[in-house]
Amino acid sequence: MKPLRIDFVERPPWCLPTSPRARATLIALATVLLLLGVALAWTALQLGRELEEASRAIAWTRQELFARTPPPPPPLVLSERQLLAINSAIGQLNTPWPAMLDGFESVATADIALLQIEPDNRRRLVKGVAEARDHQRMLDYLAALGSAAPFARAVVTKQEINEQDPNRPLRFAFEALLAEPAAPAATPAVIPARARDGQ
Amino acid sequence: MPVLAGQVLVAEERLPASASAALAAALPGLTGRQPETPGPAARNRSLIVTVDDGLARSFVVTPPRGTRGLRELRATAAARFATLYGASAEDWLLVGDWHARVPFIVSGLPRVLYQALQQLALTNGWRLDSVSPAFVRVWNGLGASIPANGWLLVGFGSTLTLLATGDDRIAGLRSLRLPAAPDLAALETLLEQEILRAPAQLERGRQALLWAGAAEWLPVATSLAGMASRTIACRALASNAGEASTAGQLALAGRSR
Repeated sequence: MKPLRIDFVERPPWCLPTSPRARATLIALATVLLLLGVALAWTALQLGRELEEASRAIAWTRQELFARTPPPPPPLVLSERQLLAINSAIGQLNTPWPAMLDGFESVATADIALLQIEPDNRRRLVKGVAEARDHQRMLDYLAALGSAAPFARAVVTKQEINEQDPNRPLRFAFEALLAEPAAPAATPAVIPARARDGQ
Repeated sequence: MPVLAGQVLVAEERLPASASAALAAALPGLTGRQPETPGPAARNRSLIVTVDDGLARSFVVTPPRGTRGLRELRATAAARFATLYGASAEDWLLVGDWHARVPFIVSGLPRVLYQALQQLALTNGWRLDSVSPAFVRVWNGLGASIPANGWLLVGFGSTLTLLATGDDRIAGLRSLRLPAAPDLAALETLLEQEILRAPAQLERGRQALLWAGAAEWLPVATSLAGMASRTIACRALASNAGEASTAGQLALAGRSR
């Protein structure tokens, strides 16, 4: 028969009589849990330590990396003169030499001696010096040049008789305006204005 | 604590109804008679009290079907107490071997007596370890010897407790106060009467009797009332309380651990 659990003294739950097997099971369970807890705590401690080490290494590496990296170059600040120089250089490089030379070639005649050409990129024109036999031929030449391919207009800026030459040719300086490459018809007014600025 | 014997006899001479109150009143008197010098050893003592079945009120409660929880079982036990004894269970400390489906035993102890025992333990620096009726101690001591179908008859002093078992369960419980030490014939008559009161489903043919306790009048017979009978004297309980005869009246046992 099962034992009677009749006792007037109320005991706290942990003092209640348990069968030895149940008690052994409880003790074993408690031991296992305790061991598990200890193992968990140890693992947590170890993980924490590893984490700390890793973060320390990361910090050290970051410092090292920072020390080894050269300082960033200061931002490029150009003065106005430098900007202008660069822009003019770019403009010179962009001078359409082949088209320009083709244009001069197409209007070359035996009556005109082309002595010098010099592009002026800022004003988009070409300055030139040439000698003609007479005044009419000079005008013909300039008219022909002004209507040749890369040019929009050609005007004379200075003229004189070369006295040193026994043939007394008419030496003249001229400016040939280059046609606008993108939309030559859209800005027709700019060209004479620019031509006027150039004079 | 062999000291307790004298006081116990005084309590037992009174009427049963007032016995517990008288005993409770007498318990503080034990303190002064403690012969041992209090020391570190005395501090660790636990007090184990075995109460005479006549002082406690024990009965069997069949749990109603669908009972849920200990609270309902306690209420059922209190109601059963009121039905059986015609008084409220408020002044009684009810403790049961609670079970939700099978009948179980509930014992009640007067709260006055229990508080007196607590006070006794407190004033002496003992730990009140256990307070149980005598039949519970005998039952738990016998274990497998208790017949699964039959009767366990526990005798202590002038109290006889009859516990009927059927199919490994408790079927009935009754404590009788005997006017004098009964002889074999009187015991047989008592038993016959009790069998008649017992539930009908108990088959008499396969039943066995087990007499146990520390009373001197326990019968030594192999057959009684047509059932196999044997007797186990619980001297272990008695020896703790000193003289066997006084322990039989009411065993108040304390021992050091």
